[in-house]
Amino acid sequence: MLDLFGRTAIITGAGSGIGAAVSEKLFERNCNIVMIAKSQKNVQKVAEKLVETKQASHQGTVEYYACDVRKEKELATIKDRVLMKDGKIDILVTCAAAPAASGKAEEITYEDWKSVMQTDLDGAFLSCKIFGTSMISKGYGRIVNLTSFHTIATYPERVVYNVAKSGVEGLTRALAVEWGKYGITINAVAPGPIITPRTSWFLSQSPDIGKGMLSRTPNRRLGEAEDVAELIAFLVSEEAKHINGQQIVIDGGWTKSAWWGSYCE
Amino acid sequence: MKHSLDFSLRGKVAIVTGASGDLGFAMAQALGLAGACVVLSSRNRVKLEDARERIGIDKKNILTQEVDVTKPRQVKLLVRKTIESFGRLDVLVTAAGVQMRKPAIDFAPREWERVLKVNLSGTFFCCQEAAKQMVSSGGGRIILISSLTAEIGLPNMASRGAIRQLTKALAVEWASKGVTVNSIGPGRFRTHMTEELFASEKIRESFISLIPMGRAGIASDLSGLTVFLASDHSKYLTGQSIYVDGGWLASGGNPLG
Repeated sequence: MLDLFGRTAIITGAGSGIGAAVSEKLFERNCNIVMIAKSQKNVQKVAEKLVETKQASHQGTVEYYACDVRKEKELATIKDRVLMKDGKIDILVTCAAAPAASGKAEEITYEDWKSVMQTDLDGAFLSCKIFGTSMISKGYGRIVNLTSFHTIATYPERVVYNVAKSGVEGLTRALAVEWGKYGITINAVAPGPIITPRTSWFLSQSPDIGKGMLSRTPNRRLGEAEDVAELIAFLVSEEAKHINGQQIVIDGGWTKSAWWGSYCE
Repeated sequence: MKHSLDFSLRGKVAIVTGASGDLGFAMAQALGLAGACVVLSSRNRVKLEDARERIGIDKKNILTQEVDVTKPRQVKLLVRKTIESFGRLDVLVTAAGVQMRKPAIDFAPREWERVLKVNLSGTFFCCQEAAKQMVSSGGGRIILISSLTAEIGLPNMASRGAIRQLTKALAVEWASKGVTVNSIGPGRFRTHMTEELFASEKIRESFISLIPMGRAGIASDLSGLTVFLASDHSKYLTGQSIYVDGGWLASGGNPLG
């Protein structure tokens, strides 16, 4: 039912974490995947591993590119190459994000602010714009933007990340209403705490952080990148055709709970 | 004191159910101090008389009426008495509610039904009777009490989510009649009803540490919003659930430090 055979998907931020997990999941579903990351080294490693472990049953292809999602021209070059090879782009999943920037709002420099906004928000917009143009011409597309639980419930000293991801939520709503008529759906997936290199850094700051997260997660576990990849793989499938403009939170119940007790006790 | 906006409710008549509870009492007091005639209602006659004594409003502007909101006939009588005494009805505040804290699997059907009957059905009956008056007189203001728990899960708080939905449903149905329906959702409030939770230091500390404004709400935190929603200034505002929570929902209970 969720087979993506014959579809071509572009995944930004594919070098690690959720982007890598999404690439793997879509490849498992027989999709042709085009992995994009800022650093060639990371994305090459993930891509080569996928090819190495490729099962005979996997029918998709794997490509990878180093690309800075802040650069419209670089994205356009990739679009042209993909169109030359596959003739179309069906799916886009935007996972590219700048390194976690945290700090007091009154102390964040404008340079830091711009750097995160350019990758997380401008990069998502440019990716949607460039690859979306091809979807519009074909009358079909599935876009999933990765946001964050920070868009609905945040905590101090995450101002830039929060604003950028909230912007992506708005971008998702905006494109959903604008591009629905072209057969394109645009949704956002907002993960709660998921074990990725980014959160691992955060968790490494203090042993209490992980314990605190677990204690207020009704599911009693931190999410894994694959949990998110499963949801995204559904949203980019045929079956999700009437789901549009939604932000779906995947957090084990985290943001729906205000219980003061610990779920782990 | 001179305000740039006139929030006087002089000439208006308000019914407040659950007026002997902390939140209902504070809301009734706010309406009365803003100039409205107020009908205090609750199930408990003794508490009602006590509320009348404490409220600090001219006695001729107060009526007390014992009412069980789960009994439509008594609710009808409440509205009739209001019209007999003051000639009109402009504002309804439904603050009558019960709380039962126990694990979901331990709820007896009777207990479940009781909570829904008071919190949801009782609220609806009051809205219905009040709206009959308001629709025929060209408008009114209905203010329901929702809760933080309409947005997020706390054990056994389903009825508050229903209030949020009722707010939307009635708002859209009565919007064209000049009747606005909004709900006020208190966050973590310290009242007699929540005292058993606040009595535990661990829970109290945990509550407060998650409130961006650094303190639990108190009943009078609802006063300003109540008067605003009851006034002519809010006539285009309807169907909303407005949370008074010190910023709790904006952080969703995430740690703040």
